[in-house]
Amino acid sequence: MTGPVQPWLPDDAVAPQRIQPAIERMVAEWSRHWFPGAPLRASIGRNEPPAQTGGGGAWRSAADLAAIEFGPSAQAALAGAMLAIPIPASATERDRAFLEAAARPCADDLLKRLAGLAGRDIARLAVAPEPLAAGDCAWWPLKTAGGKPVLRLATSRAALVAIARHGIEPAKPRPLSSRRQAIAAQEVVVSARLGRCAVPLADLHDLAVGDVLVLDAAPEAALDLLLNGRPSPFRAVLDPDSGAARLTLTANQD
Amino acid sequence: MADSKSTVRLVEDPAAPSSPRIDERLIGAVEVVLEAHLGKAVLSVERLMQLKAGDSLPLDAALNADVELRLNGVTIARGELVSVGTNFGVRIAEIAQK
Repeated sequence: MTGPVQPWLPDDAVAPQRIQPAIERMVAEWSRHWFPGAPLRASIGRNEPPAQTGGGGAWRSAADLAAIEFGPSAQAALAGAMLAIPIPASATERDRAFLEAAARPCADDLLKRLAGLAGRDIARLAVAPEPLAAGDCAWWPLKTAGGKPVLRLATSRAALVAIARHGIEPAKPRPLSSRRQAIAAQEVVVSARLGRCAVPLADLHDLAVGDVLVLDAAPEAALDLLLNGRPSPFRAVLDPDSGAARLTLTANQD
Repeated sequence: MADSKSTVRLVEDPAAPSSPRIDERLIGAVEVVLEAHLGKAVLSVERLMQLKAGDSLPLDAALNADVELRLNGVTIARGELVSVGTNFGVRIAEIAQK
């Protein structure tokens, strides 16, 4: 059975509580870069499917990693935070278009920074107006210092794994050995098969000391050599060597 | 909603004898293959790749050592190597318990 190949870490290693400090730092830096006021704060939120907030441009997403809420209210909140002015509910369509254009690079930068946390390059991750497909998301409501929700960030499990892995100091790998050398040093058991005989199960049950089984091979015939118990192309004859058994290889089997 | 999966449940036949088993005599004619082996040598793959016709390979067994009889790779008996007419044979000297 096959399935999609995904990087893996134990569940405990990718629990939102473990990832939260990195997300909080990233959001704080992003906030300081874009907003003149107090930075937004990221907290652990409830697991809600992205579809609840609607599609059609209501989300910006970075491939399979993360999505950020980007509906009109989020756009107004972001633009308002950037301009340090409250955006009135009476904003016109033109105002809304301006706010969306102003807020989009800010939202995309958040996704870019999150991808950076995961060791991924946003330039190769298209930012698209789609929610995350995966239902196994972690949710990070971004709130003002006063606790007012501004927007929500969703990260996939793949993102959590990537962030956790990227945050671990990489071990310096030892150089790999030559595969040829490793194989050459591998030990193999060579055994000589003198012959075989087929025995009915009933006879095998009744087999007793003193019985003689006749093999299918003649003494002068070359023996099969087995490698780790499996047939091989080698054959040999049995030679005496001061009482010890010794094999002399004959031409290989075809 | 009802489960649409079909299941098969084995039921006991009250008329059948309890704990039915296949009589061993019914499969007594089934043939299995015993293999006779004498000694072994342990070589590296490198040495193995260098082997050619005429090379000698000492085994870890004496010529008069008992031959092992293996069933599916498992040694179940040992015996003396003999000749029977024009063939090798093995006279059983030791056999595993049933």
